[in-house]
Amino acid sequence: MYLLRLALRPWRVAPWSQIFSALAVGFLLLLAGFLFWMQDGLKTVVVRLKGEQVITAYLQPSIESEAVNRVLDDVRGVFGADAGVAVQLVDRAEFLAGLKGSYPELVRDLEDLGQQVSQVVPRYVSISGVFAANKLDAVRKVSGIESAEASGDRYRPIVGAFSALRWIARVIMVGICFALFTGLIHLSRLNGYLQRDALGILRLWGASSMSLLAPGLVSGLLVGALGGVLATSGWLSLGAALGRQVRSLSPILNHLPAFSAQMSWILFLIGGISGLLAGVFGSLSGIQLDRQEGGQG
Amino acid sequence: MLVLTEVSKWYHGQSRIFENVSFEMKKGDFLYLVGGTGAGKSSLLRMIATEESPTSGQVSLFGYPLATVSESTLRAIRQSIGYVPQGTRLIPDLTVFDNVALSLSLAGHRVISAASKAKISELLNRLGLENKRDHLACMLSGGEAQRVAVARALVRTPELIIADEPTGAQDRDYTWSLMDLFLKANVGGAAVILATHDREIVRRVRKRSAVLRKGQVTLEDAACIY
Repeated sequence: MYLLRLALRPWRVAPWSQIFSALAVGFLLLLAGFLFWMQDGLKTVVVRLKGEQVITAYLQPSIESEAVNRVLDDVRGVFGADAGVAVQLVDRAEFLAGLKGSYPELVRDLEDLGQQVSQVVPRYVSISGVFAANKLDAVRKVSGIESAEASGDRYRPIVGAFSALRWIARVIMVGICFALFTGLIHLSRLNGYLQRDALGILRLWGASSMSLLAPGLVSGLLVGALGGVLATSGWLSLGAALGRQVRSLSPILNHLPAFSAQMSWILFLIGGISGLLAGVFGSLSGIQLDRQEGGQG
Repeated sequence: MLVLTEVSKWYHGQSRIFENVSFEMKKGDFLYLVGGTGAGKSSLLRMIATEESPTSGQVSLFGYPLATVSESTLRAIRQSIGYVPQGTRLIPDLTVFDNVALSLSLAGHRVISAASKAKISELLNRLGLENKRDHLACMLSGGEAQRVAVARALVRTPELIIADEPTGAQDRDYTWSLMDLFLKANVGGAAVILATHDREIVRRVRKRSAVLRKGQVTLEDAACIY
């Protein structure tokens, strides 16, 4: 009880230091949590981008229209139950329609070829999604397919940029944690100084090491836990909106996971534990300072 | 119980406060520590109370040399000492009652027991502090704070009582109340070392004296030194 009252002394003597420190802890924790969510979520996006490709499989010109569906089914069979793989036939009319906007004269010339257009303009199957590299060979072996080629690594520049972003996020997270812990230690040293006279008396009266550490531990824990509460509140109230905002920046970011409520409890725990550990350091330095000044163990 | 062997003390950049001080105290001894202002009485008592270390020499308490004693033994030694420092050094956040109770709690006693509470109340009553028990220590006068410091030291029934000018801020009535308590503890087996300027106390309660003068300690018997 006495030690608890001593632990609350910094809140009586220097309340704004405690409050602003708690606010800073809360903000830094929230920022670190956001960066963690982002860099962790980008891993999924990067994996997807690395694997996503487009195979263009050209049908043999001699394939009759009636046989085209069979070829399509065989191609779909190569990918089996792979989710997210889109298989689409692009026939001559669609191909020419796609070119018309950019090359209208070329399209007119091709249309003027009449029946011979089948020798020039190919029909092809476009397969897009995330699949293994060996699927290209499998598609080439399908009866009715003349040739096939894959886009391969078409998102490489974006993958590189996101990977760099993940590393930067991690570095910033480490910096934030360092700043948070340093700030808490300095506050704990201040609190230890405020409690120094009483701790000196306690030591002189035969207090145990735990009794001497307790006020600093509790002081630090209070600030850290309060910061954790602020971070938790921020996460729960702003997280969903923030996540939606980030995902809306680009279709590629749609694969980022939603903000989880579990993270808010982790932030609270980190705040409390950081405060507790910083309180230990602060207490130890206060006790050490008192010993040095007293010149006695 | 207390052995000082060739103990000297000086602070960095200053001349020696005292040097080669040697004396012993046994269980049940009563020793005045007298000397002029700045003679080094408080420094000597702080060393005995384990608050400071000697610059040279050795201090032994209860048979343990303080320079080499373990942390746990030092803690046990401190729990057996009742120290009344010159500046009282009460914890301002706590009430009078809690300041005294904390001393008992740190000595390993259960504060919440009825017997402990009664003991504290009795001491506070004897020292005229019964109406101040729930007052914060920071609200007390100098004399009241000094009496609380004495109660804090005596409540734990220490084996060694170290008192630095415990009556300096008291009127005559309270001076003798405090001396009464010290003498009662001494009769109960506690060794008492008491620094004082008060000649009347030394004259009326004749005990052995250690006179600190020009950095040297001279032991005088219970004859009147004033």
